Amino acid sequence: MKPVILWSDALIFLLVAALVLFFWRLRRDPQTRDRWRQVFASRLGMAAFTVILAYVGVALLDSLHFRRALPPPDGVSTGEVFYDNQVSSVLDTLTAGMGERFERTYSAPFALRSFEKQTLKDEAGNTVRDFPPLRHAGAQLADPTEKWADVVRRSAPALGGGLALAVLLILPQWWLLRGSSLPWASSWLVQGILACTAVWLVSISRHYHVLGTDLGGADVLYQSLKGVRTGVLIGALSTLIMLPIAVTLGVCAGYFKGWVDDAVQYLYTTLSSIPGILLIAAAVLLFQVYIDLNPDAFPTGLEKADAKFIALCFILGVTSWSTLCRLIRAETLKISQLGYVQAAHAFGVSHGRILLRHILPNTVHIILITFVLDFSALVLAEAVLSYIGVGVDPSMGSWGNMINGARSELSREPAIWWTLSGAFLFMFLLVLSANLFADLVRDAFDPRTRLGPEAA
Amino acid sequence: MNTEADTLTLEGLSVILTETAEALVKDVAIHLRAGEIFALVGESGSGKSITSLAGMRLLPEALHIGSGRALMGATDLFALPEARMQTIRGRRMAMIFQNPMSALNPVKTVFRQVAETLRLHTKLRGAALRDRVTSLLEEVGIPDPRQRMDFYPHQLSGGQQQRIMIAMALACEPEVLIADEPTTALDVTIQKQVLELIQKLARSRRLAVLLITHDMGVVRQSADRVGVMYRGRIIEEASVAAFFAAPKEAYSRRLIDALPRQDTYRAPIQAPPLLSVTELRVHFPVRGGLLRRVQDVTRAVNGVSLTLARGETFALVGESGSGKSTLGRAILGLEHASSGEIHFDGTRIDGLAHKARQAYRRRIQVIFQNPYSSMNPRMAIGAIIAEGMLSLGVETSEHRREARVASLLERVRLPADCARRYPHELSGGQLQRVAIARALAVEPELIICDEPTSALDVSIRADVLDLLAELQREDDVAMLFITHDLSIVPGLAHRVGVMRNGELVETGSTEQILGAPEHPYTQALLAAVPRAGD
Repeated sequence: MKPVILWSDALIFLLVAALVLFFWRLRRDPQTRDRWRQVFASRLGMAAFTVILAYVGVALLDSLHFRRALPPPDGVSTGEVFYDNQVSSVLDTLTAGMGERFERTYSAPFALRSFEKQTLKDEAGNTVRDFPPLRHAGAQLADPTEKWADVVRRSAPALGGGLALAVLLILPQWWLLRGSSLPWASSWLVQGILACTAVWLVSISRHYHVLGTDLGGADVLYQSLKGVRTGVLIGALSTLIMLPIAVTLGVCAGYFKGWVDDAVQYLYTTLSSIPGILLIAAAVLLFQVYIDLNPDAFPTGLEKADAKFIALCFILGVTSWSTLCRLIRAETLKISQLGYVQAAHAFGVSHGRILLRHILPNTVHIILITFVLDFSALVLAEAVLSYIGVGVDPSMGSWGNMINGARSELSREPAIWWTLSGAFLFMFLLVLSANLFADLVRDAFDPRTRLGPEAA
Repeated sequence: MNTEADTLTLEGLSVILTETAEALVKDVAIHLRAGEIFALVGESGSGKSITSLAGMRLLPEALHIGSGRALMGATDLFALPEARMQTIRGRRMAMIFQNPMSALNPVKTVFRQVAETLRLHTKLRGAALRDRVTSLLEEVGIPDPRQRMDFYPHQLSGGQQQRIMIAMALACEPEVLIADEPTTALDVTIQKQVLELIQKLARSRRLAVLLITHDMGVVRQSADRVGVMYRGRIIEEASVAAFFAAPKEAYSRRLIDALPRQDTYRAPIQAPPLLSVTELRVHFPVRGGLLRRVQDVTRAVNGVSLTLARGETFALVGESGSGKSTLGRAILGLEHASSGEIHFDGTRIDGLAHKARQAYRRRIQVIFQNPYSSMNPRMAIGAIIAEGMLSLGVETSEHRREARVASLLERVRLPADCARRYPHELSGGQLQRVAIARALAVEPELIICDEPTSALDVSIRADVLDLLAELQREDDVAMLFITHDLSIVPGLAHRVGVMRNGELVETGSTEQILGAPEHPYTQALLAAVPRAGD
């Protein structure tokens, strides 16, 4: 086994580390701590955050890549070990080969036979056109009519395993968090449900395709799971690329005013007057050309896809900073007229120090709110871009690609609804939790919403 | 009391904060009579605005009326359904607010806003409606009403906007007028005119007026009866004459005493000047056109000369927009002087480079008007006070700095544990003390006080002024005291300068300016100051 570290893997771990550090430092400020406490004091916030963490967890597991060692070829007995060209991740191992059970083409959820007719030879040797049985799903069944009974029979131990996992997860937390006033119970409930669902899905999908298969016969559930990493990464990475640009330019424009302000305003006005999709499409195609011209730089297909993906995140980040920049510029204009900045001037505090100590900390609420709000917008943007064909590389699982693949199949009769549903379900859950969480964060951090009850 | 004669009677009113069931207004009784102005006085948070809102049944969602009755004739307003109440609001009871700029809709003409209430409650339309609005505007003293009617709010001055608000309130000839701090946002000369207008209307229209204010001077000047509100209760009620002659409660006494005495002046002191400003001009370019060329200049400060000696207080008085704050900022080096010279202790300090300026930043400090916005909400008080010392290199060892912060807090009479607290945990008066400590931290020789007390309640205002005077005696600090409030000047300043439109129209000793002003503008300013102790 040989570990493979893709650029995006390194970035996602770096990112998680940075976020943890950031929140750890924020804890020291009692005001900020109070506001986070307000977010987590609601059951909804706790549940939404748990779901988001679960997604991040899946993304992290999917980011531990390696290449399997292959058994030495026959007749060769050198010490050299050959590695599989296929890069796998820890998630692939945990899902017990869910992604390796290919069928010939479409099949419905829990189906035993293919969705499309094929020319077959029956026992008597006659050529007939019929739905062929699936290679993997239901192979263990002697009698196809026992399918549902079999599912139920297999569900019981799976759910038991799920419960055991849930207890293992929750017990230490319960032990550590005794006496906490926050509604941890809702988090534990969500954790329990997620653990049971996960174990059940993995064990059932050994014998059935829970969400069916797609055109190429790949398991839709597996594809959706692979989409998690893409979605989380694109949301987080693009926002993180956009943040420094927006914050630096916005704060400088609002603080220094004059020609700096003019230049920054010119920049974002120009940028936002170019149609975003067009700009992104052009940039992605340009990068595609670069990849094609330099094949040596990217040995495996996955690395090629990964480079393209990072480029996409980068482009999304670079094109979407103008809104936040505007907000921060306006806030800085306001803050720099306030007494404490004036007083700092009177004390001869340097510009850099004023920006760092007085202005930046007071724009943090805007940054936080934008971070959580933009996250879900970018997950959706990825789907749109992949849909029009300029998004993530088709070899990389993503919800946008799944939707793109499923669009024409919706119009046939009987319709193939499961590929779309799989992507939709996973995306919906992530975006919904992110939005609910963003709402709570905004309520806690936005000075205007906090003014309401106080003014009364 | 005889309720028959009352236009509106509030009885046993209590208002409760829904979330915590805490009573913000407790068992309040108010009798409003036709043709009489009843002033409700109290400091911020005493519940006076909530009382008036409860009377109109306009309480915000977080509050509700716990008990009590509001009788208008025989009808109890609190028992009416909301739909009936709507016909009473505007028609029989009307309200004017503190800030006319935010209470008027900026995108509608004055006519449409005044006519709105008339359309709702009367059958007047067309020319008759226009005539009615014209006569209303005439009554509230808007010059040339036929033409001004089609103006938008921003085309009118603050005083005229408040007059429009009053015209709107009077449109349907209400019996009760509630005025919530109607003049707080206005300059003194305009405040006087508006108060006189309310007084005149109360008499001529037999209006029952509930005047809410924190300013004892306003009460003295315009009200007939007064009620003092403290922590949700009315602790004293009397006629204005009786109240000022002999207040019963100690708290009322304090409120009256908080008004500075007008008869003792500080004698001018003789010393060589520490600061001298000669022919200072600060002009702001007005840019416009294609390439944002300078088309005109705003003359914020236009040729001002003054001197200030060590240990002296110079009060710079003027209405908003007169350029007094800009002058202060120019001395601090926060504003670039267009021409003229500023000398400090013999050295010219305007136009100094950043480095050379640092030495003078330590010697000239500032205290701002709004204590809430002059503290970074994310820094602890200790760090706020220490910032100047750190930046100007006054005290480099952390240990010594902390000790100094502690001693400064003690000097401004704040508990030592304040250093670890954050600005939002302190009250306005406490924060202003922190601002004083922050300025004192670098041992300045001149402090520019830019309206340091105008955001504070009256009783706290006196404390802060006393503290400043005491520190001046101890440290021999010179103070440039910028204020719009002439009433605090006598016991405070050695000399006074009156500013108008960027020019210093008159300077002299306090006694000379307040006792025998020569310039007509100074005379007008003085006449407008509401006085409590005549």
